[in-house]
Amino acid sequence: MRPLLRTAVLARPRDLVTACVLYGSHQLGEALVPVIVGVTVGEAIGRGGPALLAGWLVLLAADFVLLSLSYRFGARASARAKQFAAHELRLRIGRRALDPTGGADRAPGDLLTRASADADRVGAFAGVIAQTVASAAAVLVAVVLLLSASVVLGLAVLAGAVLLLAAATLVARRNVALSHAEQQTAGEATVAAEDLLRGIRVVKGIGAEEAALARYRTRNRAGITASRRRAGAEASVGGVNALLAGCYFTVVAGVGGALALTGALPIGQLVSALGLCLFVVGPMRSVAAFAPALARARASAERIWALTSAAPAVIEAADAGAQRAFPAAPTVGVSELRVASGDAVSFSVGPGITGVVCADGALPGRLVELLARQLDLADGRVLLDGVDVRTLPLDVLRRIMLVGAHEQPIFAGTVRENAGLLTARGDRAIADALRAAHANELTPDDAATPLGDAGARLSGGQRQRLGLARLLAADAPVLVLENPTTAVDAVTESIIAGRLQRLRRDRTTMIITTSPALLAICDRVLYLGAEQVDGSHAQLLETDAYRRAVAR
Amino acid sequence: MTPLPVAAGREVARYAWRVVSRRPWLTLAVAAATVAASVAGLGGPIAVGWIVDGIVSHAGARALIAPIALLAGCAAGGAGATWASGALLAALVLPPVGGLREDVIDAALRLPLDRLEDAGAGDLVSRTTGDVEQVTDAATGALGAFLSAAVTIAVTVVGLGSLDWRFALAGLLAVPIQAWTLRWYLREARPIYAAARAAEGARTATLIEAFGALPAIRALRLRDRALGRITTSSAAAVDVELAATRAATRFYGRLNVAEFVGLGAILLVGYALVRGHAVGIGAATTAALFFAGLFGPVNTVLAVVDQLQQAAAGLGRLLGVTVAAGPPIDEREVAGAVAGGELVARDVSFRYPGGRTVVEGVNLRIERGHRIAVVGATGSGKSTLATLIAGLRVPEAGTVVLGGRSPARLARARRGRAIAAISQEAHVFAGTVADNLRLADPTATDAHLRGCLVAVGADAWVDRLPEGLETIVGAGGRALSRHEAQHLALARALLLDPAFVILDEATAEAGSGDARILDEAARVVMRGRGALIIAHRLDQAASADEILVMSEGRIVERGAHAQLLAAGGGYHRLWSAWADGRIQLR
Repeated sequence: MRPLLRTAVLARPRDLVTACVLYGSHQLGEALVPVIVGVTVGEAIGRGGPALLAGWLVLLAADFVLLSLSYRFGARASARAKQFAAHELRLRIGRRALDPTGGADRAPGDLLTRASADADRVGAFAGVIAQTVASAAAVLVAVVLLLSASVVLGLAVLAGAVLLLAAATLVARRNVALSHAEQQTAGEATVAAEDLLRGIRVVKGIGAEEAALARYRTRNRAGITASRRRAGAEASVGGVNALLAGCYFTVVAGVGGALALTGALPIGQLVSALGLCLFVVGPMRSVAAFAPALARARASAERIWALTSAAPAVIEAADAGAQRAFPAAPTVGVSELRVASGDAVSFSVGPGITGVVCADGALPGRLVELLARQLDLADGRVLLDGVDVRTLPLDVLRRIMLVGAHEQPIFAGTVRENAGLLTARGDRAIADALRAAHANELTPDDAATPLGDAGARLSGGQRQRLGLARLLAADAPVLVLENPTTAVDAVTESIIAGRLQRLRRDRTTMIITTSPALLAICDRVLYLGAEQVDGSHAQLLETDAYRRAVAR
Repeated sequence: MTPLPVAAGREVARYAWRVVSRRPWLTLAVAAATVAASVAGLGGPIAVGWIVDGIVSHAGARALIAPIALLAGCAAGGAGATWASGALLAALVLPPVGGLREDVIDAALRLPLDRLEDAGAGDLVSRTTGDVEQVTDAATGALGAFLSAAVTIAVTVVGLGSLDWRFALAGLLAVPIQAWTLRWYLREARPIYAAARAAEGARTATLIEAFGALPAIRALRLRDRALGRITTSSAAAVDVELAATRAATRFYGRLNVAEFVGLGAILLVGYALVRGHAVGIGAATTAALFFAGLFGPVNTVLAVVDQLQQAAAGLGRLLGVTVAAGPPIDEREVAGAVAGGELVARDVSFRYPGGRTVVEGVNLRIERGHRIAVVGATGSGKSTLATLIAGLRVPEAGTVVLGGRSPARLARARRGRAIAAISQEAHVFAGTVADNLRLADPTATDAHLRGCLVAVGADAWVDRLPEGLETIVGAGGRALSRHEAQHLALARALLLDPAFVILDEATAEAGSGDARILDEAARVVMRGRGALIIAHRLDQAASADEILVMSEGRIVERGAHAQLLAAGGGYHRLWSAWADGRIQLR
């Protein structure tokens, strides 16, 4: 975890160093403003002539140039350091989550938080480092300047500022936990609102508006109470801070004033010192903020680390036979796969279209995972063209045997982009596939129309047909489909079945389904139940168990 | 798509005025506390000026008494005023902001279904989350910071003027530069910030798209594409963020110029006035420190102006929702009892705004215990018909009558009890399983909930959940499968115990084994009620008392299953296609 934080923060070492140096000179410039003003008032306005005044004003101008330019380029370097650190982390998380070997599947929201909020927080820590280094330097410079003016005053300022910070931190810490918990309550109200509106059609359908509103109201009232309590806590922190700062300044002014009255401190230096004593609180506060910022960054780095170091779900064979050639329609074998009843099933699927009907409702999902090698089971073994798939590179396996699970994602983009994702065979192939999946109604007018996020503009049936078209367009030697037409009406389903049969004539196709329309066009149907039966759809209908399975 | 309206600036201002004028004393107290805190802040420079004058006039140790007393008094008074202004402002603005949030949700729930669909769910959700947060954040943070900084500036300028009017004039030299900077900033920087938010949104969408489809991306070998899209969108967001930083640093650079001009002018004026014996050196000191004390507040005011403007725009969008929903209906007015046992649609037609007619001249009658099935190809208007019958939409022509009145005119809760509509969109609400069920009847006992689950056959899997009925499900909790969500919706419908139930493809998407269980559950829900069922799977239709075949918004065939099969029309074709291979089953 530690190396992760370090490498992330040092993603752009030159920018980080630049930011430290320039933030430092910015702080120096800020520290010098009260000094120059004090000396100008004390020396030039009090005693000197126009030339002296002009000289100090030029110096003030130079100081403003210094602090302004330092901040400008320091902030930019800091932003680069922060942004690129977060960017690199984001890509690292993306690479791990998307790795073909799997093992990093978590809820999308969880992954998103790690790739955005956590990555940003670790990145922001680069900025914190620059700020802290510069602030520490500024505190040092201010203390040296104060001590050189008057040791007593310097020590008073230092002691007072440290006490002030310690007290302020103590007050703030008492409120942090409280305000954090309350912020969460307020956030929950927002989440509740979003959730309610996402289900608004359900609410309206059953006339549950009152109940839903009442539920939201409870959350919202709690949120408001929490916000008020937090605002109250913040107001008291503000008040206490104002009081402490006031006392600090009163003491320092008293000490400085007394010194000046005895002549130990010239007026110019008194004004400078008082200005510095107000200035120094800011950088000290930044330095004090380092520890909590580090803790936050560490917690985020740990969360990212936990993900990026997750064990893969499957191990890719090191010496996998990448060069192996496969026939146009390879045979797929599954052996010794345990099913719910406790029995083990073994079967083999050759060229042509094979329907697979599962009595065990969980079997289709497991089969699909196993065939795509999303995981390795202790029991089931999969052979592709006689070769154990565990000895093949994942990329080769998934290119030769394309597995389309029931839920096919639709990505932002156009119909054409979605349908053509798995093929380089050009527009004709895409058009043919769209037609076969009866998704050509989505073209040609809509072919170039963006579908919105996750195909939000498509209905369930349209999404399913587009997903099927994409799988068909790939023209993979082996295609496995899991319940590909559940959201499609009966007429369309039988049209798809016929076209699919023609398109996949010379390939190997396995359709896991209970749809009679699809099973009817299969060259062969396998029924995986208590007994394993093999034959044509018409033949199998003679079997009671099979009939029950396909008669929904 | 027509987004919901946005309230004009005038309406937003009127709303803000209502908030402050409703509690005038509190408003005055906030103002008084804020001014007091700012005035106390002037104590420091004044005291330093007095000390300087004391030193110059060799007044001795007594000269320290007054300034120290002033400092101590300002420390105490300022602290009290700071606390009071923060606490009072929260008391003034937070309750109305909370009330507004409820009003907006209430209004959203009152929006007609058409309006909601036309605006898109995203519009409403972004208003009730993003805009609400923006307004709340502004009310709790930026508003207070802005007010106290603005008052501090005003008070300081008055303070400068009270030392000598020429000091105030010198200080005001910075104002044109600041005004110009602010104008530049709002013009140049705002589009960049908007682009930054958009880029971040695009990045989030790309990440969610990839993270939501990991198994498919692996199976389809789409990793490189997904990674490429993440890289591009993240890099784009970085670019815009860096552009935003460049704009912000230019903004502060210009403010630095203003600071120098003002400070230099005050020092020059101080020199001239001290030499002319118009003011003492102490006053010159005070003036310079006054002005240096303005740097922070000026930065604050200019930096949060943008946030406040955005919040005002957000407020406009929130108020827009309430405008779109119209005034709340008095539920008592529409609360009358529902008598009569039949639901009748006469010549019902409907058309989406600017679209073609989707339902045309539909007549139907559902009695209690009577089941009607509607079949037809996708896009034939079945779902729209379902919402019309359920009273969720008002027909353009024709009437839907339940016991002598239009269901659309029923009080909301009563409408649900009369006609419950269950669509295939089975949202699981964040909360417990029991919470999800109790939407239908908040007062239902656990035993009652269990009874409904048992009746629809969902008790087995609910019992298997870690906490049973009390398991947190939905967003942030345990994810339920589509099938489980649908099952829960059916149990909820049973709990509601409506006179009529409308099932819109409520069981269409499920796989085979699941579909059987859901079919059985649907049968339980329909038992003893009038039912309208819209289904792709024709066995649901086959057992109905009457089947309506829809095509292009019209009912083209109607009758019982055997009757329609014998007629050999569209239904016969549908049935043959669906039952291809199944005929032998029967």
